[in-house]
Formats: sequence, C-alpha cells, structure tokens
Amino acid sequence: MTDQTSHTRLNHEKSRKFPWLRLSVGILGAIVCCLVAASVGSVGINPTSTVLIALSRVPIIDVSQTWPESWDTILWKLRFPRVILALIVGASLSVSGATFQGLFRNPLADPYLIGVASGASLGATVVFLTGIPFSYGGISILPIASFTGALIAVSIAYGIAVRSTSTRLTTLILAGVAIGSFSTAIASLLMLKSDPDLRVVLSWIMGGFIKAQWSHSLFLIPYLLPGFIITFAYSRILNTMQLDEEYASSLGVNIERTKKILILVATMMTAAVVSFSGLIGFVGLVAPHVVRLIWHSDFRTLIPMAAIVGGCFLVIADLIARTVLSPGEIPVGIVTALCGAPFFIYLLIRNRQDTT
Amino acid sequence: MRCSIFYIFVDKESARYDMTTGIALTNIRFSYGKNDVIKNVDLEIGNTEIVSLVGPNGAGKTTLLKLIGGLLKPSHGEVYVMGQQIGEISPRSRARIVSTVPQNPRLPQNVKLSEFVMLGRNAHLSLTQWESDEDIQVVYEALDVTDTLKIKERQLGKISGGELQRGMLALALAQNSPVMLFDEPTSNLDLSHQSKMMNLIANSHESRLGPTVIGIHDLTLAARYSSRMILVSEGKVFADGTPEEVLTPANIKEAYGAEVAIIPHPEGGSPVVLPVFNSYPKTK
Repeated sequence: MTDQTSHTRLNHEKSRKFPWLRLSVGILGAIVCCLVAASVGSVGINPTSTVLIALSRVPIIDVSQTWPESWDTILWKLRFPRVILALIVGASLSVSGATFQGLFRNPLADPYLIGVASGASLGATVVFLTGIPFSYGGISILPIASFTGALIAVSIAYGIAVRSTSTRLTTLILAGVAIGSFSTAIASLLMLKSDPDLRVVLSWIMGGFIKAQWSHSLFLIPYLLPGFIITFAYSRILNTMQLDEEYASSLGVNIERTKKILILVATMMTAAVVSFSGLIGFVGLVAPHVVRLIWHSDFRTLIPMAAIVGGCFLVIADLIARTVLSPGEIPVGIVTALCGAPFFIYLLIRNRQDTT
Repeated sequence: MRCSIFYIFVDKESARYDMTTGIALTNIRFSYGKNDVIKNVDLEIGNTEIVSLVGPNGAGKTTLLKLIGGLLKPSHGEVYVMGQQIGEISPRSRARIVSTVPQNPRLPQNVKLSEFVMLGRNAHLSLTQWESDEDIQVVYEALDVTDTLKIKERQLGKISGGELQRGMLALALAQNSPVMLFDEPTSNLDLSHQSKMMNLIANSHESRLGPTVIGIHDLTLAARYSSRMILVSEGKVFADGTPEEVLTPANIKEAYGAEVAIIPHPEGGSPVVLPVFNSYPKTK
C-alpha cells in the first residue's frame, strides 16, 4: 500500500512540476538552431566563427578577432536581426495558435485559419494605401490598425459560431475562412483602386523577413511579452476549458472572462507580428501539434514548448526561403505552407479515425 | 459586480457559506426562449437529505439541477444554496459550494484519468497557483474511494462507461464541496455498475455534511437509495415525500401516463415499480 501510494504521488508530481528540463533543452535547441541559421547564406560563415562573433558583443567575454570585418557586419546587421525576428514571430504565432486551439477546443484552429491574420492584414493594408501616416506622435499606427482588423475578424467569426445551432467549432472555422477570404478580397480591391507604388504592400503581404531590423524585434517585445505571460498564467485554466463549457463552468472557470482575455491577448500577438512579417500561415497550427505529439497536451508544457518549436520552425523555414533559390528569395509563407498544408491534411485524416 | 482587472491574477475570495442551511428555491420560473421549462417551483432541501429527482423525459429534471447548480439563472425567483444566491456569485465561489456531475459531457479523449480528476481542484487554486501536495493527496483519496486508482494512468477515451462515471464522481469528490448534484449517474451503466455507482454516491453523502440531489430515471433504484423523492412533471413539482408516498400507481399514471404495479422490495421493503403490460395477452 505504501509502495503504491508513493508511486501514485510521484507520477502526479512529475506532471505538475514546471517543465524546467524540457524548457532548457528547448532553449538550447533554439540557440543552436539560430546560430546554424545565421551561419548559412550566400556568404558561408563557419559555425565556430558565428559563435565567436555572437560572443564578441557580450560585455564580459573577451574574444580576439580572427575573422574578416565583413562577417561581423553580415551577422550583426543582417542575419542576427533576421533570425531573431523569425524566432519571435514564430513563437508568437504558435502561442496564439495553441491558445485558439485550446479556447475553441479545436485542434485545427490557427490564427491564419480563423481569419485573424487576414483581418490584421486588411487593417495594415488600409494604412498602407490610404496614406495614413505610419506613426503618429511617436506611436506606430500599423500594429494598432492590424489589431483592429484582427479583432473585428475574430469577433465576427466567433459571433457567427456562437449563434449557430450546429457544432460551433466547425462553424467557427468555416466562418473564419469566409471572413479571411472576404478581408483578402477587400484588401486586393483597395490595392487595385489605388495607383501608388504597390510593391511595398505586395512584398509585405507575401510575408517575410527580408527587411528585418533589430528595431522590429525591439518594437514587438512590449506586445508579445505580456501576451506570453498572460497566456502561460492561464494555461492551467486552459486545461480545464478542454471539458464541456458547462462542465468547466461548474468547476469554477469564469468562461466568458477567460475567453475575452485570451482572445484579446492571442489576437494582439497575431496582429503585432502580422504588421511586421505579413501573412505567414500554418506556423500556429503545426507547432502546437508537434508539441502534443512529442511531449504532452498539458497547456503548461504546451504553451512554452510551442513557442520554442514554432520559433525554430520559422527560423528554419526562413533559412530555406532565402537559400533555396539563392541569390533570390522566395516568400517564407510558401515554405511554411508547403510543410504545413500536408500536415493539416494528416491531422484531418487522423481526427476522422479518432472519431469513428 | 466585480470586474477589476486585478482579479485576473488575485483571487483571495474564500468560500463563505452557511453550513446550517440547505437548498431553497422560491417561486422559480425558467424558460428556453418561449418554452416554459420550469413553472413556479418552490422547494426546500435540508442539508443532510439525499433526494431523488424523478419524472418523465422533458419534465425539467436537468434544468432544475442546473438551476440548483447555478449553471442557469432562473428567469424569475431565487435559488439559495447554503445561504448563497447561487446564480449570482462568482463561478469559483460557486464551485466550492456545489459540484455537478453532468450527464454525458463531451470530454477530451487523450487526457489521463488522474489529470482529469485533478481538474476538480480548479476552484481551490488561484490563477497562478499550481497543484500542491495537498491537492495531490485529495485527488489520490478521491481515486481510491471511487475504486479508480488502478486505471488512473489510462486515457479517458480508453476506459469503460462505468469507469468514466466513477471518474466523474472522483472529480466531484476532489472538488470537495458540501452540495453534490448528479444528472443520470446510472443511465449508461449495467446492473452491477448501477448499484456500485449508487453505493458510492450514498457513501459520499454519508461522509459529508450537505445535501445530495440525484436526477434519475430508474424509480426502483431511486427509491432504494434516497430518503426523499421529488416527482417533477411538466416543469412543476407533482409529488414530494418519502419513496412510499411518491411512488403510487395513481401518481405515476398521472405523471408518466403509464400503468404500473408497486410491490415492496423483498430486501428492505423499498417500493419496486413494475410496468403493467396492458396490451399484452396474459398467458397464465
């Protein structure tokens, strides 16, 4: 009996402890991933030098310079900002994807699929084309416009889903797809109607990190860090929300408040990254599922690990995007779609087998 | 009305309830759209009673349970549970007063039973709190009492209906609230699991101070395990009293429109309801 007791307790304790080990392994993996990605490119830099160049700017560490000056410039002006931006964007899309999946109890929810990203992109397009100044009194208008567009899109999709008599989740996805197409159509119409140079907005819509700068990452952090913290704080509640809504409510979850806060936070994160990187699909879908397959579906593991996996996924996707047709580049959205769409189909098939 | 942003992170509210009162419904009405489901129900349930809520399909049993559980708000009247107006307090305070075991909820299939039962501790944890050793101990005991300790590592999609029903009882026990409500706890179970389930519910009632209300179809089972029966018909309390008082052929004919015979149980003497097959040719 005592043996069994201690065994039981051990198992429980394992599942509720903060996932330190997984997290540190994940962070280590992400660092390696970033360094490798930074080494590869039209100018090859050997990984050891990349590590040394990265360390050379760390205040306390003293590294004697054994590399050409140009490498330092390439890494610190071009590749590091790009890799870091991709990492942050991937992490944010994955965390908001995991949040939407948890909130709507639908494994196929993704900021791109439920219309959030398209709404954000419409908001940004309006700013691009109507000549509204990009910043007003020091505050950048672009993320605010994206956020407004995204919030309107998700509110409409959610409003339709709540009112439907059939399964809410299917309706949510379908409404999201419809609103996504609608926003894209309006954005295209706006572009055709206006004669100014379309290259800016077009290259932005394609999505990518070609123009990545350190300032972009710095700008995103005030939007994303609170988002990560709030989502992680709510991860235990998200576990409870996997039950029926009424069941979760009877267990003491304030359903409406949780939904409002998390939809707002996830939308804000999506909108913020969309305003810099454009439309990048499937990252928010793939990363949480990879985490579920490898580790666990407990949201306390899922949220941080999805951030790491999603960040690395986008870093690698961006690496492929800028090297596969070197010296040209393909939009990173094409790479993520090429990996993500088959994965989405695989999930659809697996889901069908689960329900029968 | 609490809407302060600080409640997102801080919820120091403790369970405040009056252990001397039970459940009191005064002049309750409830409607889905234009359909009046509950029409003027007045009901008092003492804090040591184990009560069966019976009645034909669509009589309003589930709605009544949800009103008592605070999951629905009455369109008219007041529902007090342990001295609290249950529909008006925060979900977390409510969950520390009433636990509800629902009928056929949709559950995530890949969650382990032990993790599922742990969700019962939700009402006792603030937003940023994780389960403590004490919570783990409570869950362990709930699993032990409901005889589900052996299957605690199994996923919900891979256990039987009886095991799932016991798991939901374990979750309600882990919730550790004085009032427990059950909606059809035996409807999907075979004969032996039915009595096992009812025994567990009766035991949990004994070990706790607070009322137990069971919405149940099986009149014979209800009569055997409860001290009081409430027969609901068309949204009203049709009969209320001991099983012997409520289960009369006349009452059942009126409420269900079915002919029955009632005989005492050979063991214990509680009423047993037998259908009378009028249209059937009698052979002997």
